[in-house]
Amino acid sequence: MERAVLVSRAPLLDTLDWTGYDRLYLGNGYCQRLIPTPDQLRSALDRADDAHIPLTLVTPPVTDNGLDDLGPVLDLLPKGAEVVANDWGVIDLVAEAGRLQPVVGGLLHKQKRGPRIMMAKDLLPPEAWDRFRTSNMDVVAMREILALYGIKRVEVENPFQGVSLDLAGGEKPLFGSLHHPYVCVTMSRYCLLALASTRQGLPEWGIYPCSRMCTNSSFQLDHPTMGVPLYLKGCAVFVKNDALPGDKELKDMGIDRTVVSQIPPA
Amino acid sequence: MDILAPVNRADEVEQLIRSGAAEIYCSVLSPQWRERYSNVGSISREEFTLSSLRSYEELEQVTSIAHDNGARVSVAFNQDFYSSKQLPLVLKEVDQAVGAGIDNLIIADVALMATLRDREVECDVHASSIAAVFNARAARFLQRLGVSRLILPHHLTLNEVRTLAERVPDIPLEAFVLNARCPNVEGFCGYLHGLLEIAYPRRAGALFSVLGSRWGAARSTIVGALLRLPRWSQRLGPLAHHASLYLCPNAAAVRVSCLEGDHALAPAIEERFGMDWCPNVGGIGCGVCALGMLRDAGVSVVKVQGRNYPTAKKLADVRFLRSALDALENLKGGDTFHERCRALYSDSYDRPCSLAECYWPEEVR
Repeated sequence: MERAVLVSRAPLLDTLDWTGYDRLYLGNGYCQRLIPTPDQLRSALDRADDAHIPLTLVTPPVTDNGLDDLGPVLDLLPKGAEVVANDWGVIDLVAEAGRLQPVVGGLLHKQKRGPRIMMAKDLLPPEAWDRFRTSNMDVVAMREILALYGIKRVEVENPFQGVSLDLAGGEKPLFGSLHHPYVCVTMSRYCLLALASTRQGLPEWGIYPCSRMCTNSSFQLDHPTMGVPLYLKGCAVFVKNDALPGDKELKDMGIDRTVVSQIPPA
Repeated sequence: MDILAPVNRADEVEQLIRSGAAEIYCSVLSPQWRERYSNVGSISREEFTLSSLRSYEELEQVTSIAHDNGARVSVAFNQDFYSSKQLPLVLKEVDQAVGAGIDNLIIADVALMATLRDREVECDVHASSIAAVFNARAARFLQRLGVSRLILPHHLTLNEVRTLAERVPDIPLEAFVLNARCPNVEGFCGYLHGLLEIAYPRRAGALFSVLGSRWGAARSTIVGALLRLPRWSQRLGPLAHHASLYLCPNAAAVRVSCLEGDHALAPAIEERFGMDWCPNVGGIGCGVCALGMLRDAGVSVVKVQGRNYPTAKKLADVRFLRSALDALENLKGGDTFHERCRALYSDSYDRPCSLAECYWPEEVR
């Protein structure tokens, strides 16, 4: 089982203990304002080289302008490097270039992640419960689309209801990377941190400029029906699930890599 | 620009078309689907039973009335994905919808898009906002999967809409301009909303019968009161507390504490959750004064959100939107149009519009 560590922002590499990791994931999968700068990526590539481990770049959903910005960053990656894409436009861009390896990110891998699902466990029909444990990656038509783009790997989240996948099965098998302990529940482009800091006391919700205050802020949201705390980091909300499936169970699903985040990865 | 209006009952179709809708959209939560997957695992993204028609026979009525009145019909099969085990029933129900004479399918799942393309389904496929397309490359990807119209996600600025439209001038665009606008990107959101119906079915039935009735004219007030309830309902017991909260995970009951960084932001974030604004079930949210900008950007269809809203609210929305489009045709100058829209809004809803409701507050003033 390969063991990777996810660092969402390049400055956090300064305090990273690299011991025991076989791969570095770098990048924010939720906000295009936090795509690493070319200098940050060069530095991260050098550090990963020094640690003798490969780097996987994580990318967010992007607008057209974000996609334009991403191009020069991708050009810095070595041939064959993995790019985790949370946007079909990014997958298309990476696949078209042909030099890099696109990976399906957690936002395109459709899994229900809301913690309140656990309250419904005994109320849902069995088939509904099963559906909430599987995903779009076991569907034949999806595998065919992924094969067209040369995709061999998918990022998998670990929601409270667990996962029941057969990535290794079928004619076009996939490898999976299981992220833990944080599970992304939702994300927004109406960033709560940007609104709270720039529009305090004002009622509107919109996409406003920000001063990247999320890079050194995180919050706990306690909601009476969630059952567990939520963590607001940047424009994304997470829950923490410490229950990790056993190695055999992971292997049987086609998962050959775990990706650890020491803090909510946004 | 055409108006696309929501329905959840056949008897409101003709009124909506006569009020100005050129297209109708709906979903069907059939008994066979509900039995196997419940409302929480609905075949469309709308988890509330009230939001959908109950059968394909009712869909036939909707289609017949719409076509008799010169309007088109779209049906949402827009869950973010369907599992392998669900696909046979999804395809059977798609066939039933097509057999009912619909014009368009609204789809979010790219695997289902590819499957329908390969099956040469006999109607147009529109990409749901749940497909979360933010750039032209993603739009082209869906076009290759057979999509003939793109429904824009809420979380795009007007400038971003313009840029996307410029890059895919051959793909017709549709944009929401009225009612709920979730603070989360719907296509990337994992929250569940329909739990009240399976946890407290009798309470949910009573609540939804009020919200769907003619009392629904007070819908915003009812929902607003429910969303404020959690702040003090804990004294009344956990059931009332939970019942109100099951409606919406963004409800006004979140306590925020700072783990690192600027502690002063915590109360400001908490205030956001407490705002008098119900993103998923309330009847507010408006981008109508951006109609000119949307038209100029190439958006050809404007959409009213709210399948589960009462008929009176839907009619008021369509009439307001129709009058604004008429004003757009007859007036020149953006500022004049904004002022006209605000006057029409006040006339339609007996209250002034506000920034809290504005779809594009960063650009429309």
